Amino acid sequence: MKEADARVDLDQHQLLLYVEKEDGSYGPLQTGAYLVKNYSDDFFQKRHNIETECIDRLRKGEISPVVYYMLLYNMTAADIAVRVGISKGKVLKHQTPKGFAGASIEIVKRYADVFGVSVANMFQLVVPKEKDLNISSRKTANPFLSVLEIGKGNT
Amino acid sequence: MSQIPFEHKLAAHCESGMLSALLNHKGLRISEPMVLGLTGAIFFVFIKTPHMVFPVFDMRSRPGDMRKNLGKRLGIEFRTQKFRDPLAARASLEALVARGIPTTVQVDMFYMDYIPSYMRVHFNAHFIVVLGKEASDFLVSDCYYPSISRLSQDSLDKARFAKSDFAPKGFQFYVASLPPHGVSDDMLRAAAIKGIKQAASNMVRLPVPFIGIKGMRRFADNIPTWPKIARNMDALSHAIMSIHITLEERGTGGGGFRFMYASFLQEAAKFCNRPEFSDMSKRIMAIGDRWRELSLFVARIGKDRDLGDNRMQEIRQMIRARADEEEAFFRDLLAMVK
Repeated sequence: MKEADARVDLDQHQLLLYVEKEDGSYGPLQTGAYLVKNYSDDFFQKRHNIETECIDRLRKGEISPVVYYMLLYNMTAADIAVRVGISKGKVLKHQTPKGFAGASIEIVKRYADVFGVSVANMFQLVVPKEKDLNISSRKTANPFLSVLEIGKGNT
Repeated sequence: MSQIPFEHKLAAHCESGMLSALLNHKGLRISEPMVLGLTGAIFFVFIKTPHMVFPVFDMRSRPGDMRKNLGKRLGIEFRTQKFRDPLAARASLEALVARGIPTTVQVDMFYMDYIPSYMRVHFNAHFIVVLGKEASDFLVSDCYYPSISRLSQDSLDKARFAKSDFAPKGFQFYVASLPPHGVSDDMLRAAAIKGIKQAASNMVRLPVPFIGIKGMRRFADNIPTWPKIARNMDALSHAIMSIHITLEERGTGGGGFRFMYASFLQEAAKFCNRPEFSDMSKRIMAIGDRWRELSLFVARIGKDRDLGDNRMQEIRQMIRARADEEEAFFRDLLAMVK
């Protein structure tokens, strides 16, 4: 690949490609990520579609948060089972609100760790009513307690 | 604890880039393409397990093989450790870093808090170098990220003890010693020939249906089944566009490591005094260009949701064409180093 063909103007996601330089030598070029530059809107639209579909089903009580995060992170029940340390059958059981009600708080904590969210977010949806709010969850030394910080500007 | 002085650089791939950085820190000047080439790590494997929604492929050898082969071929001693207990793993890591030893840890990429959210996927074979600790944060050099980053000890513990495929089990290593008389030109030449022989042999000779050229063809033939696996059009589009990510943006240097391999062959042509390697480097660069054509194609049709059966067949044909080219290339390369 010629150096000129590889260049992508995108500061926020840089990567290293190996290219043919003008003198015919091959070497590294730091440049922007092509897919992120040209197709990230599509990625986020797909995420939004999953969220919309799942949140509706969550509200109706058709699925548990396990399904929501499983689809969001494109994971399988088998992979989640190994990561959480339970059987695949249990993960399938936990996909409904009724089955999820039978999960211990320790198992819910392990799910939360696998999905990278706080334990609280296994039981709630955070929906900002205003635009431009900064929402972040901060861990504490207590594994079952996180602090949800909401504010305008940098929190 | 202060931060170990370390030349942090972006690299194309986490394992080859991290090894190159560690060895340069220790005083052995070696480029990332050389690590890839000397270790014979250019590869193809088609993987289908119950832990994946769609089958995947990879274009480099198994995680850890680069370190092992580099150690064997250049006489470098890497000291490795695995742990069962996260606290013991953390204590050992802290002790090494306190002694000024940059230490590589294997992690699940998902827990690298500093990377953008869209890059956060569960992948257990990512490598970062730990350089220090401030309060409860480790200072890490991740060659996919432009600067040295902070990572909480909680996140690092989780990342080092994630389960599932390639579970790290607290794995860590560091460079214990280089050969007493340095790495000679003869050693480099011998390692290059071994690496080329291994890579070419893996691609065309291994009698395993999911590895090398056979794996490439199996992957190609699997693509038309994907619409049946997908839960909806978005999921199919995501899977098809992931081909682009694996080839270009998930740490390959572009063209599925083929561009980086071209760079290695160009370097090898000089220090091995084998001008024919230079011709081969041009050939693999051209093959990389055609992998990139495939990358751009899947990105476009994925976004357009233009994913009918005819498109799946087109992707299949493109991958099979790459397989034919690579079969000829690696057979010729193997003949040169017999």
